[in-house]
Amino acid sequence: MDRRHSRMRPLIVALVLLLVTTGCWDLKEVEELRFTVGEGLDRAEEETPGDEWAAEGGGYKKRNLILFTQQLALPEFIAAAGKQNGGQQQKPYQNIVLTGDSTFQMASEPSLGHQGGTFGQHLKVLVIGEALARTVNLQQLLNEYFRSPTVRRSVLVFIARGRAKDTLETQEPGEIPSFRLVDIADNEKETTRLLPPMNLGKVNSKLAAESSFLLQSIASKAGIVKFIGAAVIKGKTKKLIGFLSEEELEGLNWLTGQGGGGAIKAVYEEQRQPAVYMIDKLNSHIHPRVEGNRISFDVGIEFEGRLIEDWAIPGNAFESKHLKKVEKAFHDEVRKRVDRSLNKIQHEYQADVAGFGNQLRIRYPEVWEKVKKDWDKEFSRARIKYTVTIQIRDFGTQGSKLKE
Amino acid sequence: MSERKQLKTKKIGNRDRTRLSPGQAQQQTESSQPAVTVSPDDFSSRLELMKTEIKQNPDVVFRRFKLGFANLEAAVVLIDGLTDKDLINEIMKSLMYGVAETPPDPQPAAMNIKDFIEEKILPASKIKAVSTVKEAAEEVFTGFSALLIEGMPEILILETPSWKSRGMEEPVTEALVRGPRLGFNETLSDNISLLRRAIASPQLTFVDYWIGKTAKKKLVVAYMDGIVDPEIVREVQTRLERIDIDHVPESGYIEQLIEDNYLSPFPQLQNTERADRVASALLEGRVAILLDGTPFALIVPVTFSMLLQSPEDYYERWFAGSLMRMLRFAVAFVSLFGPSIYISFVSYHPGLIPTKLALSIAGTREGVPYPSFIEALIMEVAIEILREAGLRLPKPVGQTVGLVGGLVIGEAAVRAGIVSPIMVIVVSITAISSFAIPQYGAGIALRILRFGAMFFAALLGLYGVTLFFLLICIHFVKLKSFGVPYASPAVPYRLSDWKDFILRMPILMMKRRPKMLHTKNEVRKG
Repeated sequence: MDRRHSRMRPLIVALVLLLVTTGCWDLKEVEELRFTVGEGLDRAEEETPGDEWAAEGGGYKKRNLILFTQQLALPEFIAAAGKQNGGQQQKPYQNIVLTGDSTFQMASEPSLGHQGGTFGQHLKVLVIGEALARTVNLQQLLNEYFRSPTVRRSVLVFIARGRAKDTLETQEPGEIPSFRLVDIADNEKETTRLLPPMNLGKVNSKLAAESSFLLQSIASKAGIVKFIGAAVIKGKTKKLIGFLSEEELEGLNWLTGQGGGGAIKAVYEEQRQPAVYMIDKLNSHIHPRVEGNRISFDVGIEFEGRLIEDWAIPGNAFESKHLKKVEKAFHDEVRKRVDRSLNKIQHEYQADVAGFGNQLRIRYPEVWEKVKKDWDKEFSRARIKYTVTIQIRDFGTQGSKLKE
Repeated sequence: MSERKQLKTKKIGNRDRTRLSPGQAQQQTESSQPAVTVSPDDFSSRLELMKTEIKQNPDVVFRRFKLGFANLEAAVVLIDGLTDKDLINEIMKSLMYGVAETPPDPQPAAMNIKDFIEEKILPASKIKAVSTVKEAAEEVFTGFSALLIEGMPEILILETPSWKSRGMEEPVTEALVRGPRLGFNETLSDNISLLRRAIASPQLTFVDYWIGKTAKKKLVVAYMDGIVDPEIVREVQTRLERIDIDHVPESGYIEQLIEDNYLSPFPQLQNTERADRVASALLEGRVAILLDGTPFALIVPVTFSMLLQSPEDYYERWFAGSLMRMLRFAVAFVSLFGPSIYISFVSYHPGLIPTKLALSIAGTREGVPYPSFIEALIMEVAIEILREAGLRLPKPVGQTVGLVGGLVIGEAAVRAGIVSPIMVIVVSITAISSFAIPQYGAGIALRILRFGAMFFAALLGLYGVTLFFLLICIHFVKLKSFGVPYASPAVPYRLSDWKDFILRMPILMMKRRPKMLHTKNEVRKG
């Protein structure tokens, strides 16, 4: 018995030492971290923030190409925001602005001037300024984000009209701008003027496939950020080539059947009164067709919804003739808008951002193999036919506005 | 070894005169050799022998009298307070006068006086004859009365035990909403009759044991003959026979003396105050051990899942039962890993917490001077102290302690910035979880292991918690209770026994007894 104990003792001591000496390596209490929740990338202009200490020997060797904004959440002020302990309220976030040429170096630079360790696992949004996106290949710009072990693929990517730095500010007290952007991106089901959220993972695959795509564009006016339309990234150059307005984006969403909710407003007939259609269900099918060398697409768009507003008098919804008239007006409106959007992406930008290529790849893989190298060019030559069906299923408890 | 033991006994003997000296104790153990044989001629000397054997204690009554039907001396020896006085008076009355009214055989002395008294005189229901004074003395101490008669070689032992016992009340530790409001009390015969009443079947078998060298106590092993695996009964009996201890105050002693692994934190015998619980365990093919002087019966063999069960699971409909079962498994997990998972998230993996929660935790932890492990330790220890203090104090005071303690911990500690409010939530959820486990012993086991898990979490984060979980699992699958694997029916995997595991399937489906118990008669329901 004693001998067994003497043999066990070194083992136990070794085990305890192993645990105690190797433990706690990764220990980092949550309150000692600097949570990076949003980052912005802009083209650097004249100002070079972060270089104020150059005279004293601060800084490192770099070119000032990028203006980098790092948004830190300040937990102590988030907790205090609920309490309202009088006086003026401290903002629950802090933006650190730096210039440089490497996103990684810039992201770690604040460790010299701020307490706590950088913690990037909760990064939520990445905003790229218009000027930078137009001039720099996005795959080059974002490669550090794709490589980094801490950055998640769920980080939402936006293009700022104007400067990204400004969109990461807010006037609302007690609010973190990055979270606000994430929450707005969630409203996809509410409106068709919003792009389904694009995250780093999707952007990565689009860039790798060299296909054109859309990014949600946002703009800041007087400290208020709004989502407006979309930015078109060209697959070939991997740079921003232009924007779609909110209405153009909506037209495109109707064409591709993305998003739900939203409305169609049409002014019809001699009364020139508006009527509004509330979209309940939106479906679209893209059928590619190959005849010899010609590629064309048939698109069927189906709307289901209700007549939610009709200013015409009497505007008798009990009469199917009237409803047909209204449906026709909506139909024309949709066609008009989809035409405009299609024209823009097909001819002005020559970028397939609506997923036509993907349908061709699925139906005609051998054709796709031939055309995929220069698909955007090919797309601009393709003929796109589409049909729109609009059904008014319901008009609520309002029939005619005149007593008979 | 034996020398040391003797020394110890001597010490006790010196201090307490009434205890047996070591020599006598040894003599007593060799029960095969009759120490003193009763000499038929000398009644007084026999009585003296009896007196030395029993010792002159104030509660021992020696009542000498003359028989009514023959000019013979007699004496009743009994212990005051352990015997039924009315019955003794009745017996003595019949011995002293009874014969005068109904004249006996002309020559009672000529015929066997023992048979005569047994058959014609004594109204006691159970009579036993012993031949040695020592045997008689032992019986006297358990409440029987010894009847010595001049000229009769045997000593008659009369069944007269009767003492004050607590009524049968609802067990406090195992209260149910639905189910019999009846629990065991401290009297073995009451408990046995309770079981008899629950299982009216000749298959229900009780086997008597006397446990304890110095102070004997009756112990009964109960099982259903024809259902139980005889192997388990034999195992229980060998282990009981191996017990060599001077005194067993409570069935907890038995539990610790016969359990499989004394180093394991898990209870390997189930204790219960509920007769219905014992009865259904017996009918499942388990063995129960009842000890005199305690309301806690022991059930073997035990699997871990049994510790998360309550009789109510079966009394309520199966939806409710299953839901409660699942809840208890969840509760067991929380009570084991609650604080450790919190520690590893907060100290090692803040990336795994949802962003807004991470920020709010970070915000509330601002200004807390300790790492989360120390914080959790302070709170856990405080809760344990509170629990212990509340338990030992009289009820009204205990409530006050709970209130004041809860207030101090919940409110003041947070205000003072010693702990964060979220830690208070974690610790209290964990504490409530551990109280929701129906078996007190299982709750304690998980509470002990919780501290180990917290330590591992503080050292290695979630990786450490996983390691600790694996350690428990290794121990868990190795552990057996009387030959039945502790983790069954999960390991070894027996699908048919899963009907009564995480879910409590409808009774309609439980047609067989648990396979893991290897019962002789598997059919439970047609």
